[in-house]
Amino acid sequence: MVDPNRVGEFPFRKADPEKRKSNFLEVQQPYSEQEVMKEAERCLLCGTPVCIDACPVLLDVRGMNEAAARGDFKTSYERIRETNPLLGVTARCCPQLQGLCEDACVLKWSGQPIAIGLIQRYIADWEKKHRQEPPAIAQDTGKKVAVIGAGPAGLAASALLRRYGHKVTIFEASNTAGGTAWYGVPDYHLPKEVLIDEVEKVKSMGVEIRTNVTIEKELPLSKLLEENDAVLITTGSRDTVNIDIPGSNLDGVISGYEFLETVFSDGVENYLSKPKYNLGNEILVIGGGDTSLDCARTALRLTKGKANVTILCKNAKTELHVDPIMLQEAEEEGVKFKFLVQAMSIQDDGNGHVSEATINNLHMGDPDDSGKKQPLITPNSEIKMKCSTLLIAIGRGPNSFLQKNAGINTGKRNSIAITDEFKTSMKKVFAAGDVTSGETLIVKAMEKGREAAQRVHESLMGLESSHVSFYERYYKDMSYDKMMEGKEELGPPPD
Amino acid sequence: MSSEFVIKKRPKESEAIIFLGKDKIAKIKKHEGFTFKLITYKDKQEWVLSNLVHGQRRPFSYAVLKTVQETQETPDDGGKKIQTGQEVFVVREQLFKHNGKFYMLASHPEGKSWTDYVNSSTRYVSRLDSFPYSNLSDIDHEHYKLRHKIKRFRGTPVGEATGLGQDEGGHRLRLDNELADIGLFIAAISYLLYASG
Repeated sequence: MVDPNRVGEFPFRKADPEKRKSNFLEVQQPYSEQEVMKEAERCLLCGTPVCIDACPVLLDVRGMNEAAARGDFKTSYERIRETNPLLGVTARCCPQLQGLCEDACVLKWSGQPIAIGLIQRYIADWEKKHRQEPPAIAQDTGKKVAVIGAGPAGLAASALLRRYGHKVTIFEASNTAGGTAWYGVPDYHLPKEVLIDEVEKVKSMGVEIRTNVTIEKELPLSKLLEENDAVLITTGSRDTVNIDIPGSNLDGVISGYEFLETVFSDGVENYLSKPKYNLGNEILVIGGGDTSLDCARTALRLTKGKANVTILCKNAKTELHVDPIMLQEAEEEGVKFKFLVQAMSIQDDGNGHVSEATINNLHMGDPDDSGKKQPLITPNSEIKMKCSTLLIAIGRGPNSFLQKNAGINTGKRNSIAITDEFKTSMKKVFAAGDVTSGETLIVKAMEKGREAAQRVHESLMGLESSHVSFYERYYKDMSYDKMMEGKEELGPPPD
Repeated sequence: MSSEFVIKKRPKESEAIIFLGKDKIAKIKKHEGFTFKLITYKDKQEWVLSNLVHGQRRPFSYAVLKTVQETQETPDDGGKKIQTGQEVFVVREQLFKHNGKFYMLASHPEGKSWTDYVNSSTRYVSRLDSFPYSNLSDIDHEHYKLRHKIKRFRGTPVGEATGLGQDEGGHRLRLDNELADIGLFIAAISYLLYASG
């Protein structure tokens, strides 16, 4: 069995749970230079690098490790920045062991996979101290592209479009770029200076970012279409799924996403100087995903580690689709869990504020038509739990504002309907990422942002008929032989 | 009834031997243009294994081609020649179809908890009994929503793989009888995709 607390050869260090639960400093500590080199040395440099195959942005993990093992962090950095402009962000936010690079690493067969995330993090942080030249940019094409949304998909798309030589302007509704990575990932997991630095690097490539502009509010989409050759929509997930039970409109019942955004959107230090929420000491969180963990751990920190924070999950512990490292960290900090339970109603304190939640136990029923077992309410299992704040984190759908207001065809849950070429129903308008599919991982949103950017580029340059997938290209350009001969393709991306 | 394959890397880097039980049955050799050859010892049958599947290279994919003499010029491969042949078996993005049923390599099977699955060093081959598609080509690599969902399908485990090919114990693959007739192909592909190092 893989020990999720011990990815790689060396157990990664974490801040003391008793101390960290009352502050927002980063929990996971970095590898030292020596550790990075030793860990990278373990890499088998596989002929078929499944770690790269498993990475949505095809990060050159093998190339990174090969150079890092020699202490050549410059080459290591140059190899991985090719496909990923948010190296520090993804190193920290990717659940590498869940279907991504570390899960695919062949060393998982014989014990611990390579700690790819920690090596990547070291390389990204190394570059902050040893600034490198920005990646090569192709000659100006004279084409202009507007990207709506400065989240991970928009940033990844913009970086690639810029590298192709297009003029790129991002329009962001919030006052800061970063999207979910900015307001949805707590600082103890992703220090915001890491994100700010990487956004600055995208800007330094020549991408303009205009914040506080909501398209179809401050500026119509038609105006962008007049001024640009193409528009790419990457407005992400926004529309929260609400719980519909008696008492869900009481004071103290808060959307978990709104909660995180309120705490982090202006910087957590600003929030702490002017707190909005009085959370009390009995905090319940409904949800079974990574956001519920983020809500619980943020709430715990806002109460200086004093509150009782309990997550109510519909699933069994073994079925939680969360990053096992995050789950363990939450448990270490004292977050409690109730598995296989469902909130049935919320009671008030007589003044319109939540005071108690009624929950029922669940048990797994027989498989349904799809073969999946569904949880069922266990009769006579009702219990009441004290509750000063109830945070709800049961999912987010695509941000529907723009498509509803601009008349773009939609699909499931008001997502933007797109073709395989990322085209929307509106001419010259493309879309990608969570707004077309619903919430997913940062790195998967980046994957789709890059693929859409490629399609935009091909459309602008009349290259649609010669489309080649990123995988096809990577396979030909990044072979082991080429890497060992130092002949990787590291110039501007080919057409 | 089940078959137990063991695939071991030979000291010669570009070769691996496939055992069925204790018998050496085939070898895998590096071939030209990012392809491999699978050759049986007994009757010297040969196949080419290529990740050029349904027109493009794909991750976690292999086509098994019965070799023919002719070769084809492929400009996309930098002018290199790759051998072509009749496709006899395909794994596309971990999925394959056999006797009208869909299967998935390295899947999360029913009956295994997510945590155990994520932390386990065993990978499972599962039969996807309620798979809603009829063709492998429906599952387009670049079709976002569909691809995103694929790994969520859970099926009945009909095989399991353990071990790295270059370790002493080799890469071991146990398959239920329903996959016995394509066991050699799955063994070779499992090794090349997940355990060749």
